[in-house]
Amino acid sequence: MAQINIEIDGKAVQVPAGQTVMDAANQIGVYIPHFCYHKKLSIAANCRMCLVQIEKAPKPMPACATPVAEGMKVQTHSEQAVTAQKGVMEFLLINHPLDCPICDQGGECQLQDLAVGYGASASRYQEDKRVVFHKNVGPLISMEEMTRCIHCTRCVRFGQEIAGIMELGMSGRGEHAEIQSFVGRTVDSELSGNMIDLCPVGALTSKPFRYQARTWELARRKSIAPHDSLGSNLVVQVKGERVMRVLPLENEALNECWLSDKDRFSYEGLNSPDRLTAPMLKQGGEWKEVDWQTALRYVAEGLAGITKEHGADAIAALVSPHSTLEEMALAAQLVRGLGSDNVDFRLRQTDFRADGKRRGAPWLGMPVADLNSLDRILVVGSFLRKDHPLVAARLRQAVKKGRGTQHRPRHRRRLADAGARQGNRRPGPLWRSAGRHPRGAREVEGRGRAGGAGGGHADG
Amino acid sequence: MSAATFTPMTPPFAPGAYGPDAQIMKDIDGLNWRLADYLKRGGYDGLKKILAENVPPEKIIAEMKTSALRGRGGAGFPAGLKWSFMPKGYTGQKYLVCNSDEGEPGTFKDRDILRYNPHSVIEGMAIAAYAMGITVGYNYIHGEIWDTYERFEEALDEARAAGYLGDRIQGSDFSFQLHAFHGYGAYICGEETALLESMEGKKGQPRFKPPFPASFGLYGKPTTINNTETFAAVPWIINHGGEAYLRLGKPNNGGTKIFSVSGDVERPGNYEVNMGTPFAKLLEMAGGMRGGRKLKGCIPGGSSMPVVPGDIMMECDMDYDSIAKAGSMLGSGAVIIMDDTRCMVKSLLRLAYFYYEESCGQCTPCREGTGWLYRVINRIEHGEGRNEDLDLLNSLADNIQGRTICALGDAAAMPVRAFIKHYRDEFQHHIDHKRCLVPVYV
Repeated sequence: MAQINIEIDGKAVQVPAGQTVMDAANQIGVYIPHFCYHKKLSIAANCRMCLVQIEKAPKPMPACATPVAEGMKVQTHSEQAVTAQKGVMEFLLINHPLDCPICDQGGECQLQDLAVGYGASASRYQEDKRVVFHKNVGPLISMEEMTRCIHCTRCVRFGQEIAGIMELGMSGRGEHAEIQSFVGRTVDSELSGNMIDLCPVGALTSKPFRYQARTWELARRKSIAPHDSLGSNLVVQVKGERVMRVLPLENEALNECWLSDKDRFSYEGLNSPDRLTAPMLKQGGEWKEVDWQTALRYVAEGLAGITKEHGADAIAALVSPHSTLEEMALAAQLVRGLGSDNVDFRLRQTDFRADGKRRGAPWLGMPVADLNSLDRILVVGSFLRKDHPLVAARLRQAVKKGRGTQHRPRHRRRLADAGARQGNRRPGPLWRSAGRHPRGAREVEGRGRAGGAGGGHADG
Repeated sequence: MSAATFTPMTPPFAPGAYGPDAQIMKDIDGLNWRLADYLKRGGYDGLKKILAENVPPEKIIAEMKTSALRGRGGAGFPAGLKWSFMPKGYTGQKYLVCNSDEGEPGTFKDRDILRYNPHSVIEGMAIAAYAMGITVGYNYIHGEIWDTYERFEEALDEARAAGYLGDRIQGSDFSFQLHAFHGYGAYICGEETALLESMEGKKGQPRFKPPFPASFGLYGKPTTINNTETFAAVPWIINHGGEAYLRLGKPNNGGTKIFSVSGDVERPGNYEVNMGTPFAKLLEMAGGMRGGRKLKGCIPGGSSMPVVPGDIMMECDMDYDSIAKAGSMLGSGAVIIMDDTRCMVKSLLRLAYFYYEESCGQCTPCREGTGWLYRVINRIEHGEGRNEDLDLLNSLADNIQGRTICALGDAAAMPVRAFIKHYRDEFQHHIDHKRCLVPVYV
């Protein structure tokens, strides 16, 4: 694509045609304040915070929506630009409650951060502030203080574009506009937690994390998601010994900047009172709590006893498939050290006839990031939205680009559910059942094969 | 007041009710809107001529450019130029849209055209469609004029039955399907991209431009949108030539324009005059000031345009360039006349309330700013104004104008600035004395 030369704050930068001023600025590390802009979402240009001065333009232009043009000269911190940005900030703050001390977003709030740079110390607005009624959209997202909302519509666009279900929308007009779900509905998307991350203010906050901790009190530990079988990267935030919340860690190759709800909120189980936190032994029909040394000795003696009496082959280990590869490798090492070869992770598989006939480990066959650009996709026996929400999101991107997707359902009803993306309860045209086609299941086709056939619809 | 003497115009109107210059509304008596009457007035001659002679589309667009017909919806963009923006050789679907979502306070011309001369719009759209190679058109009609929408539907039926719309019009190769579409009364849906969103079944919110509708319009396809009055003027141009249309008006301001005169005049109503007609003459056509009072101020182009003081207005001609020189804009041609009994603070309050209510809420300066403007003006009007309020209003107007996605922000800000500029003493009086400068007995 043609390269275009532009100048931002006096720095020359070369960007491909069709990019925006915001993209160009990001490329050279110039920060332009913004709220509604998000690299993974469509351009809304509604917050107006990214107004910059562009030479020859009569008025300030939004950097997020202005395409670059050859020879363009952009000033992001000129008097005109800063006046415009400060003007927008003043408008954003007049109806914002400024309740930072009791707001969960405090400390990680874009509005708070930018208000330091662009806000005035006192407001010229002296009338009553707008109050927006709170909403209940389920157990994960808290919409208790919708007065804080600045109407950037990131959450709405996320629903439409990434999650595939428009569950939040902006109703009303003008000052009465408010974000809400369709009359009394809850937000049920498997990716809903990402709206909490996207919200630049404290309007959408995490319900389980509500009033639990301040962001600056939390230590960050990198980790891997246990539930989406994708190995999504995440950050576990801990306060003292306790896990307080889980956030995605950006990794373009896997989870981009998203995280599925099951991985985001499963940490609650760690702190559950029902959880087994100390080893126990059952003696005389009763469970007794013991220390680790006792328990380990008991197990070691038990295993040694079994080996002695029945041979090492009598020992087998089944490892949860939710474990990481490292944990599985350690478990296998342990079992093999005991002299047994009976170790497996396939808890729900009953037919093992294919073992030994297939070479190598069964895997996806391609990097996860390539899913977006597949020409044809055949899904067999999986309810992707529930099983692998982020894979489903990637396939959705592929379908949006006009690729075909087919479902080979285990059950009819699941197909219908899968078609419920976009909210309709019947399979859309792109989700035709492969079952009706005589040629049946076909392996996932790579990019290489179907170059010419990349029409909008699946063939089978 | 003398308002009681005014009786609204009901059909049949006296001959020349729209003024001696009338071209679009020539010989309209309010009842002769049907196809047969339109044909008697020479209707569809232009379309028939084009189809019979197979006039090349470029020639029609060139004729439109010669005519200097400027968009009648408010922005005054040259129609011929707009038509020439449609991508040539584009093989996909293109759309033609007529913007009849007339919602600007003070404007009521499109309603009259649609109910008293609907076929002129249909013919104009068919010619435009021919010139741009478009096969499908829609007329987006304001949701609060339901009877007009129904009448337009009836006119469409007549035109279809007579072969002026539909497949192979008048036996030619040209086909054009035209449909009526009614909105639900939101002012913002008169903004062309919000109108498109609304037609697509979405919330009426303006799109960010670029891309412009000529490249990304209805359903993402190239689309041309013109005002009702613009389309209604097209048949005349085709029949008489662009040159003749230009001569009706002034250079760069071709043709006639329908002005909706309202406010403190004896005979409020629509008057069609040549571009460049002196304001004084238009005022005279509307029966002059009510009760012979003094002209205090005039908003020459609909509520979103700056107000012009009476003495300046009396010297002004009614065309795009002259009014721009007087510090305002011709806009949609809604002439709101205010005599010396009008309190300018209260007038501005009413306008500010309108924009506060009609802001779509999409972008920040307009969503938050219109409410703030309204509240400050409201407190001035109610004797709670502060000395710094006038500067605050100006500064707010600055922060809104030019910072929004569409022109509604500008529309809310411009009147504020103009009212304060021209009638600052009156605002100051409200603040200082906590009551109105206009004496109660007037």
